[in-house]
Amino acid sequence: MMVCIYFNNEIHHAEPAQSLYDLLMNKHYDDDGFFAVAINNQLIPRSNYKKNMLDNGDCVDIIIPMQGG
Amino acid sequence: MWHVAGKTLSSRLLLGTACYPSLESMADAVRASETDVITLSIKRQAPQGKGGESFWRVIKNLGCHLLPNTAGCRDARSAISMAELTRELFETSWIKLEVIGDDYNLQPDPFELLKAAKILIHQGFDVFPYCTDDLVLCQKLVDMGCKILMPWAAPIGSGKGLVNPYALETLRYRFPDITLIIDAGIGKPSHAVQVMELGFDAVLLNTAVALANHPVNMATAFRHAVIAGHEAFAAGMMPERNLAHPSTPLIDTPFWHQERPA
Repeated sequence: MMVCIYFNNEIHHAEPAQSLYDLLMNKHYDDDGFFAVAINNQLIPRSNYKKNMLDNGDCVDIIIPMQGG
Repeated sequence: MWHVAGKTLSSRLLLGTACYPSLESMADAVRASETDVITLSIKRQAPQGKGGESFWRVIKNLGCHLLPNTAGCRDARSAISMAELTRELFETSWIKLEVIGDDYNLQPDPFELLKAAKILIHQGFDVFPYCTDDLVLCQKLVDMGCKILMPWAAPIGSGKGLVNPYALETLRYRFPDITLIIDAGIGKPSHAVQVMELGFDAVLLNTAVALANHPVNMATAFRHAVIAGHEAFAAGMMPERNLAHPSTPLIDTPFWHQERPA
């Protein structure tokens, strides 16, 4: 049964037992891309991408730089 | 040269990257200011695409130290989460800690600020806390380990300058060994001169340059202003006096000002 998550605030259906790493690869986020990832507003260190399994209802956010004062 | 949070810097002007007419204008202003430190923030990427790449490409090429902020945070928990994300993304332990308590004047929430600062210091961050000029708040930040204070001169983006110079002067006097950086409310180069003449270590500003008619020229003006104020403070300024003291000696003034001998 597919897992329903939010990816950058959009609904996305992921394969069951899919890792965050697999999700990022499917979405074409390369290993050396400049971004960070938060799930449910918590930082997921890059070293944990393969270990982190997605749960139903997870909010996955790709975090990027922006202008700031 | 001066030292802050493990770095040696030549410029005492820190510059924000927001509100410029274009990325090119921002980059030109940063170069004209000769700043060593720029502030920036983070956001969730829009669902449609891979935004943020062009900004990051420009920022990387400027070669400045990055001071990420926690703009938009209203409580300690979100500020801490945001700080952790910036450390992961930018590989820096520097964090400009903003925890806002009022939507209109963007005044820091002192209680959440203290909570967040305590935890972030414990997690090894170099905390640059954006605070008010309240002496007690500043003392509490110092007591919990802050080596840097960033009091406002006036509300963010207001351009009002030093609303309470007495309070700022007091902070300099009471915290001689703490790095003091004015953050927020600067509108004109003369404000920056005033701040530096008080003995502050640096000035952080954004809107005053970004919203100027010519941001690059204004960045240059602020560069000179910060240098002028700092040099004046270091040179030791004359005391203010209530009575006039002639600068030209009166001895041997021209004969028509002297009484003739009897």
